[in-house]
Amino acid sequence: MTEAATTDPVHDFIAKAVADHPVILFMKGVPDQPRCGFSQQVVQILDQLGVDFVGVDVLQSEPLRQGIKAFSDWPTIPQLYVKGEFVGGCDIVREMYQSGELQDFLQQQGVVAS
Amino acid sequence: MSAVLAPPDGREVFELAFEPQPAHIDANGHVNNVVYLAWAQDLAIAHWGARASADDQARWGWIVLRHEVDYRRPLKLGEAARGLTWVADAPKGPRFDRLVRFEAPDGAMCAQVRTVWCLVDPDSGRPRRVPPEMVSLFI
Repeated sequence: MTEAATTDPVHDFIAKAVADHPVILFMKGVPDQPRCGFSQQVVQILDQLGVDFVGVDVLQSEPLRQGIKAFSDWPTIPQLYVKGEFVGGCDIVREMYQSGELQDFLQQQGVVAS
Repeated sequence: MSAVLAPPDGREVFELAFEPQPAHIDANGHVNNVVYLAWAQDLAIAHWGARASADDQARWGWIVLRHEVDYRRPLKLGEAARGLTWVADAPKGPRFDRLVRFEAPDGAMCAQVRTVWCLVDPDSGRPRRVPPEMVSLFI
């Protein structure tokens, strides 16, 4: 039930990516061309809020697609990380956006202008 | 999971006593493994009920994503168990891990459980990120 061993190169890649990028979205497709509706929704929300983020297309690598699920211990994609913290998937991001919680959270994290 | 679980210093620990009933005893003469799982759930629900406000309890729901149980010392009829529970260091998005330990009257660990709970909106059933103010209730 714990995260994959650190000797796993996919785990290490994900850990480094999460550490290197303040806002990173593991998604299907790329931000300019999402390849699923859930990923598209999260991209639209982040764009709407003016968030500078990095998108990682998990469809380019099956080990990565499975690895991100193991890394976060969360079964669905997309997955949003902010400052190393797993925030959630599409449902969570959308609910946070609709309630205003996401804007507040991103401001607190210093990844969008106040 | 093999080391005996223990709460970090300063972590709030919630406690309940559990009295084995004849129906809990299995063919091996001790409390059946499944009973501990029910007790772990009872502990978690009681802890939530003791710490969360009525508004929070109405606003939020919890579902289980995973249980992981270790069994050590058999517990027999007439031996009351001490159940202890506390939360993990921090939630991960909608997930908030909970640790549970059951002790026999001699203090030995009978069973311990790590459960992954997921916060949900009870109306939609969809996961929600655990808010910081909720974390502060338990840490």
